[in-house]
Amino acid sequence: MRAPVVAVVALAGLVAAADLTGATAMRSSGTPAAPPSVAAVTSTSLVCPNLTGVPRGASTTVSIADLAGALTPPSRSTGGVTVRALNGAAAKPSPLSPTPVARVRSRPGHYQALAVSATGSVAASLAADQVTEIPQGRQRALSDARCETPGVDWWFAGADGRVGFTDTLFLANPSGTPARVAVSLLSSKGPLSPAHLDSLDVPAYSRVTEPIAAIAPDAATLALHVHATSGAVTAALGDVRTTALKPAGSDYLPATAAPARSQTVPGFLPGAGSRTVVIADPGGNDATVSLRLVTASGSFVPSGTSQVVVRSGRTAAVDLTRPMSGSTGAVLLSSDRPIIAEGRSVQPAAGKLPDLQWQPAQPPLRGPAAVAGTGEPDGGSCLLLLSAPSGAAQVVVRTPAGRGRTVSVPAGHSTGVDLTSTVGAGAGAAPFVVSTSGGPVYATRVLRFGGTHGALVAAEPVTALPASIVLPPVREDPRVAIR
Amino acid sequence: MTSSEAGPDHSGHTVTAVLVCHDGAAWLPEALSALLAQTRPPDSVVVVDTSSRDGSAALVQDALPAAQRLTLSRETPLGSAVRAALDVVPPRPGVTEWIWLLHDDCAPAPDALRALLDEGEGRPSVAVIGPKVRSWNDGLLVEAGLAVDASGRVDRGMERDELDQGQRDDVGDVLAVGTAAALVRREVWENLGGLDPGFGLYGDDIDLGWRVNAAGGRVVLAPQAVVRHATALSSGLRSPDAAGGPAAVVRRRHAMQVVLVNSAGWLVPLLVARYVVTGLVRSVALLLFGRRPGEAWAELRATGGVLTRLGAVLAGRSERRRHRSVRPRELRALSAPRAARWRHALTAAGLRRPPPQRRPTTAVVETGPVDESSESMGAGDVGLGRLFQRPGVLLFLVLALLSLIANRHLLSSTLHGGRLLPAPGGASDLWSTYRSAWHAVGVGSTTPAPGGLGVLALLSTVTVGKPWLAIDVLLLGLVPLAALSAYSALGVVSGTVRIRVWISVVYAVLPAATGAVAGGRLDVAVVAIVLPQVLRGIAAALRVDPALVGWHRSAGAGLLLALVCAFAPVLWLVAAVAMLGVLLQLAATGRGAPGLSWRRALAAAGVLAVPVVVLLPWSAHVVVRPVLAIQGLGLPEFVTRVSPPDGLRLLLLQPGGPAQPPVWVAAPLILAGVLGLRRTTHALAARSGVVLLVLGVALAVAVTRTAGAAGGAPASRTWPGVALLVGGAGAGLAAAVAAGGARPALAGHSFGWRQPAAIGLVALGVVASLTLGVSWLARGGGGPVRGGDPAIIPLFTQSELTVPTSPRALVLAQHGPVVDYALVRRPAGPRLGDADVLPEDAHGASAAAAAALSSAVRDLVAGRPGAGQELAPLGVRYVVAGPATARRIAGALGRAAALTVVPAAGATVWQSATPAGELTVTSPASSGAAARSVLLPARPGHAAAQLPAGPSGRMAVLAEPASSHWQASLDGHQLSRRTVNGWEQGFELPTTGGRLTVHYADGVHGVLLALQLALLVMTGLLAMPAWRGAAP
Repeated sequence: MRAPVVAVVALAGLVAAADLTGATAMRSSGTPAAPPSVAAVTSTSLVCPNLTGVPRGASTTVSIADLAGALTPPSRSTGGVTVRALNGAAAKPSPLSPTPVARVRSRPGHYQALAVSATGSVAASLAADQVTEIPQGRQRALSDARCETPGVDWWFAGADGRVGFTDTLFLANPSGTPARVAVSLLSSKGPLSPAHLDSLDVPAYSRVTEPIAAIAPDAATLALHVHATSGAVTAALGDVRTTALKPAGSDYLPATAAPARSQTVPGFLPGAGSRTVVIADPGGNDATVSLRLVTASGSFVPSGTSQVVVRSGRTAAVDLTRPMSGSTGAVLLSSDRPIIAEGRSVQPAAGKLPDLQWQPAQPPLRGPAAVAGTGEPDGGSCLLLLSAPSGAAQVVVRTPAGRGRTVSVPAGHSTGVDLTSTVGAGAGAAPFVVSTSGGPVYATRVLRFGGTHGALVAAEPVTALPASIVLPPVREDPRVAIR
Repeated sequence: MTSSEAGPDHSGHTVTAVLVCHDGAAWLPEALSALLAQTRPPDSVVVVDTSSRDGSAALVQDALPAAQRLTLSRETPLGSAVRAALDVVPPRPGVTEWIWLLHDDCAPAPDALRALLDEGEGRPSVAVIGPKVRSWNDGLLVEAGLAVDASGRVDRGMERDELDQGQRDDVGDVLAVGTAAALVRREVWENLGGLDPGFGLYGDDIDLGWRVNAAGGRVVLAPQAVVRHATALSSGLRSPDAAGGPAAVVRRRHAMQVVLVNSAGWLVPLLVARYVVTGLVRSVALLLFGRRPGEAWAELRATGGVLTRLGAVLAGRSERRRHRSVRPRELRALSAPRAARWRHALTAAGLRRPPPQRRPTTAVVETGPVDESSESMGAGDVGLGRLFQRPGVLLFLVLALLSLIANRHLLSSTLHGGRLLPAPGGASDLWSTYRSAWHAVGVGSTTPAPGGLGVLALLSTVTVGKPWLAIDVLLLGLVPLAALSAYSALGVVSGTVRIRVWISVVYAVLPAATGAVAGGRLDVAVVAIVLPQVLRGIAAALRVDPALVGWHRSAGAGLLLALVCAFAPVLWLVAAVAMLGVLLQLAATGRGAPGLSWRRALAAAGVLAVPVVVLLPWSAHVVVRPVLAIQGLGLPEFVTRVSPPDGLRLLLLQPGGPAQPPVWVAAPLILAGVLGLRRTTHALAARSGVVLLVLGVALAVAVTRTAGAAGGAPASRTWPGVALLVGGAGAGLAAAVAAGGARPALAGHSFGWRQPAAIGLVALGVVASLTLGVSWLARGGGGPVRGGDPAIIPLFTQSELTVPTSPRALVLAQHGPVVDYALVRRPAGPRLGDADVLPEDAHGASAAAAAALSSAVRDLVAGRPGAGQELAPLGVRYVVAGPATARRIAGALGRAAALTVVPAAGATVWQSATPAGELTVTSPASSGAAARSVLLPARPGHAAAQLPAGPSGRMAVLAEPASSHWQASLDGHQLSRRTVNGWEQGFELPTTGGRLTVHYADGVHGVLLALQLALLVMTGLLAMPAWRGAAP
């Protein structure tokens, strides 16, 4: 054979070999980076924001629960839990075994806030909350706040700085590293920028309180963004309302979901009373928000308030009393801009004094979610409000003692079940775990107590246990050290 | 000849011919018969034989039995020989006496003497008459009068050898003439003392002419007198026994001395200064650009020789002063005009085909590689100006200018990006990286530095200790340097400048070459520049001519191969396979004796042995870790496409990545290369080229289908730049053969499909080359390589990192789901070389340290509470992230606690609450005192600090992976080692204080490097060619 032919054949052979092996090479090295791995949570730290015990007669109960026994399958957790005053050095180990719940009652002048820290596998199944009952007086109310782990961003919608409101922002830093936060506010008339809130120091092991009326006097319908520029904090917002020196109800505003185009606010109370959703647009463009309700009778677009325009940097309150028409339910918001939202339900009492509750926008439940304290010190009932906007769902409620209950939620419906018989009532009520199957489910736990001056209510979102931490794939690359 | 017969009979003149013989048997028969055939024969003949050993004397005896004969010693210079001859011919008063100087290698035409005498007839001022000199064999005009310029460069009255068409017949008065067949008035000769014996064999002719002119005589050229001259001495065919030193040195020295002794007095100091400066500059230029180390050395020695002979110069000047009657200024018109050089340069700039060069009479076998001497342009052309006449140099200059335009966005002193890390401050940093057994890189590394780093260090030392300059030269100068290298190497197969320029430009802007610049690939850049010379060196080592196979060629080719293997060791394999192919090919065609085949095989083995030996500590390491053979230099590969480039793309020499021209542009080169296989001249070169093309493409296919785990990057793919350069060089070589033989091959066929096809291929080639060039020029920015400030760490953090305790910074960058990190130990960030010595141990303390670091990064980014505590054992005090990453990980780092944000511009910096650094002294918790740790001042991997007394059970913990090489002592007492935290090197401390020193003991590493240096020097000496006088 002549040389050029040999050369051409050799080169063509190489091309063919390359194309054949190329496909194999592509298959065998398809993953560019190692998959992320998952690590069990082995340490956590929770802050229960406010145990001051003021005004007189206020009694706060902190429930700290290890829910390992209520998981499916049940497990026994290891490690230890330490409870201490946020600013106090005196720490005491708090054994959660054999009883899975520890309760700490406030003593006037003793605690401000409580820091709960856990190491070992118990950190993955730990939940805590604080329930405050003020049976009478100007701040008569039942309020409930989850004890949160420190974070960097906290969003709230619904505070008020007008006369008649005694709203307070609690910022706590349970770590030994000082934190610094920036608080920004939106009101119904636009953004507010109180100078000293640009850079607010939260020293190590301490709590900082900021009265809303002082930082945003006369501003209505406020939304807050707390951003830790250094370190991490917990934030809680207490809302106390009076009308003409008479109590108009109070609760803590739970931190709501970060700005997104789609938000779901579940947990509206069944029964009479006003229902409101507060929407805030933290972005630079006006948001057009479409509303859809998921009630006990089905899912529909409310006539008259199907769309709301929220102007950039402002908040808006939308009254949902009529479309809700006394049903429990959730509101689904979809917007062309990222928004935040939070719902409020007022429990009126004919001729007596009202109370209210706040419900944050939540993500749907994935994995086991828990509530630490279901007890109302003086008895009362425990309601679980469930919404399944898009698919039918099965919800299983279990207590560490093994008692349980299964609830079905039809697609596009909301429902409320009384759990009192399952978890018990009063100071000894059991914590519980909620696990779901089927379509996305949103759950809110409501405590209700029929007081002498009218019924008291408090809501707490049912949120997922910190089952595991997703560790991102990492790789060493000196390239990142140069610009 | 009627004209001569009709001329005057010169009755008043007598001519004494003095024939000087020195081993001239090759030419004497013709010279003697020419002498006998003169139409106007000399009146007497004296033959001086300088003890010839080749039977010259017998030849003279036979031809001129009547002539007077003298025999002198072999070392007698021409001047002394003539003087001795005149002694035996007594002066004859009353007539005009002439001396006709004849060499044994010159044959005057029959009417030469008559024509010479015609010039002198009736013109008493004419003292010396010279003939027009043609070459011995082909009759080309080689000399028409001599002149010299101030630099001592001799002008022979023409640019190069010319066909004599009468164009030099109007010369008239000249400064001097050559002594071959020159006619000199005996009176003038004796007055001036004849040829100055001090000038021996070189420069005596110019000196004589100059002195005659200075004394008021005239030196004229007789164009009608023609003499054929073998110039046996200057062509090296005759040994210069009388020269008194190496010919090139003596020639150059005498040229300068002649100018010094004859110039105006006030010029002498200036000339001496000029010679010193230009001697240095010229030898450096010859070395760097001309690749003529022999001439560079000769230049230096000649300059030195002039300086040591200034006494002789002064004596010569006073001697000449006695006879001087004409002021030097009036002779200036006879000196070589300065413009002559530039006239020559302009001619060369037209890229015209150079005139045919005279070959030495020993024929070079015209297969494959040709002798280097055909590359050099004539040894008389030592001048710097001549350098610029060379098409290769012009090509280089033009491409250098274009390269600056193409890389206009990169004109910066801190190139980085792609695989390139910014250059360190000085060459010493590179040297120390190369020298050290332990590197403060990552968690601490004992990876041996690659050979390429040593080369870069050497290069940085050459570029006045500035590594950035070396990198700029390599990357920005890649195209011109590669083109120059290819141009000079192509001289082996093609004498046509146009083809050499085309192929070398195409080679230099191949996608692999431009991609190497854009991707910051120093390894590919060096390979692109050196590869053509490697091929040429190997070709020289495997030469067909048995006389030319020599160890120095093997060593030279081996050193070149070692140079590229230091960057791309895979080329060693390529060279081995290619050489085997060539040897088999030569054996199959039966070229040369069997013994020669063995010699060639030995030479090939020698070439292959050199890289292994001179890269020794590292070449062994490459054998252990074969991935290093294709990994290349610098940061981990960044072209991490999931699918490798397809086969056609690789065949078309496209490696992929940034800065790629349209895919088809290399097609004409490859087509032409395959066509080269049909040529019968340089068939071996064409075959070798195609073999290299196939090898290169095969290697490219192989490496792109090998997913390497380079530098911790999970799925980096090897970039096939080096492989495709091999393929491109091979295609270029074969294409040069094809193009060189195209015209005769086409002429051999009647008009048919071939001619249009060839025209089409040429047109396609032109379009492709233009596309390549334009896309290279037009691209501008866009490559990952960029200039500007490379530091990501804010300045204040950089200064925090310089505190005596040597804390470290952790830089994070999130790309998609992946978080990349780098441990930074020097304030400005990583520098060139750091990425090449990244820790690679997959076991032991080093691996545990790497695991601890990666786990700390994961925990930090996942926001695991307490993750901040993991940083202190790693010596990390600061975490740095750019704005985009900072936004994503700020929350997690906030939750990780123990970190405080420090405000900074351009990046976010978190400071750990726990102080951390290189060396920590930990005290255990004891009664009354909690456990505590104190930092001591220490530099990375090295500490010398004052330790206070303390409690028992203390440990000094070095934040480096534990190794038996770490040694610590307290006031001279060795401390015992312990591993802490699973990987850290700890030392047990006594309760007493003292001076604590910690260092890493090199072990055998230093010995190995010294051995490497010794081997390198030995090979270098071996590669030096034996001294040979440069021949014109």
